[in-house]
Amino acid sequence: MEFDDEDDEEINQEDCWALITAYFEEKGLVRQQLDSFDEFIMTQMQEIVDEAPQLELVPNQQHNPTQQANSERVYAISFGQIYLSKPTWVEPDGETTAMFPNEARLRNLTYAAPIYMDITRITKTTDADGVEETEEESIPKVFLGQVPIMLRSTYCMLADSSDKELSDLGECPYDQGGYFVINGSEKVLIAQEKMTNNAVYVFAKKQPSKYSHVAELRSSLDNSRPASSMFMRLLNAGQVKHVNGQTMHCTVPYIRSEVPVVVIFRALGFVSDRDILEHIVCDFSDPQLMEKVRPSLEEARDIQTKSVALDYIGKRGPTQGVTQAKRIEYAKQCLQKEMLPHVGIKEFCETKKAYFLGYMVHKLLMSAMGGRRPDDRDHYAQKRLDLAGPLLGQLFRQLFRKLSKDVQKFAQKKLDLGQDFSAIEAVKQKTISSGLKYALATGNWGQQKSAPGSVRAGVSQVLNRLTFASTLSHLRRLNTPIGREGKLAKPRQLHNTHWGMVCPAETPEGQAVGLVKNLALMAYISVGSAQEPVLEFLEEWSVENLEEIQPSAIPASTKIFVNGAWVGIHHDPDDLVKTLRSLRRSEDISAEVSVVRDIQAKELRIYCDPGRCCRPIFIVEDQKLKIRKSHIRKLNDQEDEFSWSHCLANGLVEYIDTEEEETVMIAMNLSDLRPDNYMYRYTHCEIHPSMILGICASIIPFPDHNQSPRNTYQSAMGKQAMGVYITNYQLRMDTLAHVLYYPQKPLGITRSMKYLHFRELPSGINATVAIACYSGYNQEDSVLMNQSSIDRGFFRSVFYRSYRDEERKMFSRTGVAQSEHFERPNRETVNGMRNCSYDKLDEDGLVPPGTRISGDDIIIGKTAPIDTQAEDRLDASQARYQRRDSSTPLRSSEAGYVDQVLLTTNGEGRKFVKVRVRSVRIPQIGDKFASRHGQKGTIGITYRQEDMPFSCEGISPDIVVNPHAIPSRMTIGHLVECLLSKVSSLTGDEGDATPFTSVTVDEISRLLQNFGYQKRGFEVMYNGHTGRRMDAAIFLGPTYYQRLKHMVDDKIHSRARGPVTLLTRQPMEGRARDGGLRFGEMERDCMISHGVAAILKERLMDASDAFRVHVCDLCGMIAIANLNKGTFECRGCRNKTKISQIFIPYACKLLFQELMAMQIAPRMMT
Amino acid sequence: MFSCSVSLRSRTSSTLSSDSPIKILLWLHLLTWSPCPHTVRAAPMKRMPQVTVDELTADTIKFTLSNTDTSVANALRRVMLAEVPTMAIDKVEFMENTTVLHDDFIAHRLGLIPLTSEHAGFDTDSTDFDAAGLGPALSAFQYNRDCSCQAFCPRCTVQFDLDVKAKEDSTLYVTSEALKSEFESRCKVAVGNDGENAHILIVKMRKGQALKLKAYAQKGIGKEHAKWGPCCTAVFAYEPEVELNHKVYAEMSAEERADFVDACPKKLTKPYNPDDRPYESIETDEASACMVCLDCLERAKDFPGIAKVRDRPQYFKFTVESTGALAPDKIVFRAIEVLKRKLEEVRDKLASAALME
Repeated sequence: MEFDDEDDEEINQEDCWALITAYFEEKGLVRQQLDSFDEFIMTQMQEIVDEAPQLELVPNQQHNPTQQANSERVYAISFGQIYLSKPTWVEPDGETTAMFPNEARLRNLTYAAPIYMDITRITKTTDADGVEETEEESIPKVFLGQVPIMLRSTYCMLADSSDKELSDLGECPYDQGGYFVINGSEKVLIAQEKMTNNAVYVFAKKQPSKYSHVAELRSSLDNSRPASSMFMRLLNAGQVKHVNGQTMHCTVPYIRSEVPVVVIFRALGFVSDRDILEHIVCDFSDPQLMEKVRPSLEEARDIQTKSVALDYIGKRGPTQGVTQAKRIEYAKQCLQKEMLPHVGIKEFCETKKAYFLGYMVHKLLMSAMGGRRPDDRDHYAQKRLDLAGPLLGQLFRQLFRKLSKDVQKFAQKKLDLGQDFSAIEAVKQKTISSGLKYALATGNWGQQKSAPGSVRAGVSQVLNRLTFASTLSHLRRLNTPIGREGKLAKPRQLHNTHWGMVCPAETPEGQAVGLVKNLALMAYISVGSAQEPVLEFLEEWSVENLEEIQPSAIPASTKIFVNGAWVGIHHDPDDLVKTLRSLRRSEDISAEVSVVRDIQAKELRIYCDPGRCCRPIFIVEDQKLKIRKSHIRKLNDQEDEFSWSHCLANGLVEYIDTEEEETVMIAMNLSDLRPDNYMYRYTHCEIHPSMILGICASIIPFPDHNQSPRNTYQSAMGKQAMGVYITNYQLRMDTLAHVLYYPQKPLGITRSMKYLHFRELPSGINATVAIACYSGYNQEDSVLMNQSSIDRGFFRSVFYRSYRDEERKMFSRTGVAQSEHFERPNRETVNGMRNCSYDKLDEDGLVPPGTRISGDDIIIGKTAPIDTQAEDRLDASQARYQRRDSSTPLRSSEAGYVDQVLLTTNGEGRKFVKVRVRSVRIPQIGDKFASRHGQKGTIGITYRQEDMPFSCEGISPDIVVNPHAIPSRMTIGHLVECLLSKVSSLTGDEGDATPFTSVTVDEISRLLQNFGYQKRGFEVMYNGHTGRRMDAAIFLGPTYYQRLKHMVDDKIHSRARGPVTLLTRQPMEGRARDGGLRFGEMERDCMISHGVAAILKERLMDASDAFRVHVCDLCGMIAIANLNKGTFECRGCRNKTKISQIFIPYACKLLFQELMAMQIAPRMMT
Repeated sequence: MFSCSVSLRSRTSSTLSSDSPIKILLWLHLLTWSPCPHTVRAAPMKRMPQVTVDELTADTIKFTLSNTDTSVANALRRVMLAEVPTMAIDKVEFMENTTVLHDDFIAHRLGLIPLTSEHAGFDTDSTDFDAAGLGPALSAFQYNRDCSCQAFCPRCTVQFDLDVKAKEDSTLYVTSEALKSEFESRCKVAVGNDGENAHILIVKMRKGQALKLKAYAQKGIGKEHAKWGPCCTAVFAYEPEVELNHKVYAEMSAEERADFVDACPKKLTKPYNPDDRPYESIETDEASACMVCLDCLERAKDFPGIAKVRDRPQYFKFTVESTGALAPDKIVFRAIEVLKRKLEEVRDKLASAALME
């Protein structure tokens, strides 16, 4: 390429951001979800259908002596092309319309598109003369079911819509999709982390153990079948009798016990010791390694032929007592089909399998001898992420199998009855529709009726809509499905290989720490590309096939692996790698193919499987970036259509996965790339180190100045902050929503915020914060807040809660279907009405918008039918009732105004209503606030402006935090943010608080001093109460604060008397039910140790479930008491006089009665 | 016994009436009044508080209060912030609201709009309430809670109306201008003095949206809610005096001198060079701008006594900025009056208590 002198300029840091902007403009933040889903829709679904075998149907007709069978018919059904249409919706009245996501959200529908499939029915008729006739009937586009569509994916209605179109459809232009709408609720598929298949790991066993080392492999041909694991174990010396030294045993699928490795070689047809040795050590120049194999050879000296070896394996199979020939055949099948399926499951794969087995043995022995380090289980290169695509693929495969099985069953049944069958009728569309819907709605990944252990729970979650950042973060979450109880620390720790792939800060605290992760901003998950082009290329570049080589050629050449399978060897790996990389950089092969050259092990590993973590980095050649100023100019030029993908295709940047990352040399900063840097020769350069952070950590200013756990705390708290969670919130009916009145974009921003739209959808306010004690009402993480600021709207927010109800269909005892009605219930005719106000309801049974409502008011009036004819309605007082009340009251602890009422029909065509209630939340004592540095606190007191400290300029703080919150927590970023924001408020633009940049505190201080302020941000302040100047200068400046969703009004609770549970008559639990506070066993212990028995009794019985019973003094059983008449009787004892009245807990009475039901007589002897 | 002088250094506005010096004299007399009659007799206060107005514009006043204690200065400040009554919208009745903001939001915004009224202060004298059919034109507003009416009446409330419909394609800005008072002469919406932004934005509207409401303004004080506070800022500061020791300065090296001079964020220390020799000597300029950060002393730690920063005793510089509800000078006057009434009340109560004894 030729450049002008000017164009050949090196790029600077600012230009990197232009590239990053180009990346996010093209990709957005949920690309992994969308790409993965698109892959499922575009290719995977068809592949699954294609791999399903043709259904063969032979009618088993009833023997009919009168009818002579003269012709025989055989049927077959094969599945062909599938088609997907755009999401549509069929109303219960039969009208078909295009469906849009917001309609689905509002009406609790599922946003799904119908799929159709071509089916071919083949009828083979063989007549009495043996003449065969084949008839093919193709049935085009049979309706197969509904597939939920991911929002903003290619098949979504919103794909390629402009911002204007989106807002016309009631969508937020900032929302990036990546989730599903199932029954009106938004569901995300959480990426599931798993170990890679087809890679050999060797681990040293912790001694004492039977084994010293183990080689593991999970082999899988494609994802259609569960992986078959293989363990090869190196036994400690002395474990096998008569053999001196360490032998190797290996598991074989379906074989109960471990088999000596040499036996497997012999069973594969490599009988002589020399043959076996050749496959393991390749050349015989390493006597040490040869010596390691000797014990194993010795162990297997009795099994010297292929058939004996196969018999040895077959004997250990599941079936016993069969003939030797059958055993041998079984073992053969086992080795061919089940062992190492990724190498091959066809016939004549023995050579390949032997080589692979030899490779495993070699690796195991090398590790045992210390020739190579044992593998690291937590290395991120060993991990794959199952995203929406593969997850849905798994499910779809299961469901499609079920569907085809059902088709077969249906057709067979019909044929057996001698009827013809219709393929359209045979396809049950509910299988796929409701199967997918069930999994997405519940998160139980698998079929509905499968065993509880076999399904993964929590794969699909309700999308978090508290803050925009929390939504984004949720869409980029990763889960590791290992038990939360596992005390093993290793899988939870941050690993070096997480760099740039997984956020180092954002992980929950507690049980799931380190198991739930979040993707770093620029991490890319491979969707998988076909391996055939790579294999073809390798063929072209003279890779020698394993079947055609001499084992002695191996040590001198490089082993080539494609997706873990050993395909051959090559003599000039340098050249091969160079070509492969250049092909990748020009996109002749997919950009996500990774090329790993392991020089030490003489291996070249090529991967193109899905679920690998990759990240883009600059390509460096001769200590110079390939990307030049001219490219950046083209990127910045609006008219030029030069974009991120052009950068990729021109070999300026490339995706490097975790495994390849270890074989390249990456410079951290542009400044490290100097021609005179002879110490390091770089091949790549980071785009920007701040890209290692995830969504939530990217909001933190100066995270590089904080103690690391503080960034983790903020990452969790940022998700609870209020802001504008989405711009279309007025058009949505979320069950819970908080919206901040006057959100501000922060004064201290990070560059990454641009891509998170944090400036457009912020979640906080730049509060003027003083760090001072000031009266002491801010001790222990509480803060003082300026009441005058609050009056002026500081951190005011609205809270929306939506209630929903529908007219359900009811069946009376006689089976007559009746419906519930929305109406204003009338106390005269409706039974079971609550003791609260129904006055606010309109004629239609709904509260009109704008109505002021408070706790327990009815907001949706609904009545259900009752059986008026029922026999047991003898009670005359019940006779006037025609219906039963089934209304919805407002939560008892809440109040507000009705904001919006939505009346529509749901999927079944029934009346369906949603009512949104709004209440304004003004900050008050007890509400929770936090800065962006894990510094949270509740309001301890509010002071009016005149009581707040003031500076000579008249500045008084909005928030005063206690200085004790700083030293032990070491959140220096908090202080630097304040200083920077102070400067920003004076300059009038945003301050750059991006981590890993060259901004220094001294520089900020200098700027501040130039504005006439004390350079470190201190202010001389006066006490607001007394007017005296305070001795200490106070650190004062704007700091971005967040209001968190935890507010006292939602938590405040007290109870004197109240409802009790039906069964035990003990007080209810929980605030929502006006419950009591539990006097638990620890409290009980305190009372006992104090010796205050009366208080204990009062708490546990009198204030709980005291109950009066009458006991017979003679037998100790409960007696009959009629208090009105004053008669008491124990019928068993014929005793009417000797009766005692006692008080026991109702729970105790209950227990006694249950015991009595079990024929045990508990006697209370008074 | 009490003498007090008021000098007006600059007059940029004509809001001060000619009789204001007398008023200040009278009120300041009360400021120094001691609550206990015995002490007055035993040791009569000799201080003579003095006010000098330094600057007066339409929305700010800067004055100096001297010859009095911090407590008095702070009391004045606190009363200006919290206890000077003004009018503000307190109740809103919505007839129609199809804007993007909900009712509570708009009501809150309306409350914060400054309203001007000549009648938010104390009832001066006028009792002829319905004189000449003008209604309660002259008397001061009553607090709604003290008023004898059922809900509202013209004595305690002024109604405002707002009725806007967006009929054009462009975004409509509904500002405080659209808020029409029923009784302009008693209370109306304050108008800012910078043309374009003279009116306060209430809500933006899109075509087809409408807002119709009745708002009721009532009297209140900032203590109850900040919307009734008449000032944005009411602040005083001590006046510092800076004295530089030229002898110590002479001992410093050129570098140290530069360091010392640069240490001041306010750039009060100026290198003074009679014969083009920089940092030969220094002088201070307008030491009153000093904010006592003492960075200079910190920097020149090795040279004790290089500078002395002192507060001028009993000397307070006030800055009061108005929200627009009340002229800045009026805020001060009314605050003094409030203070006076409070003191009077204490005196009366004490006197009656003494009588009881």
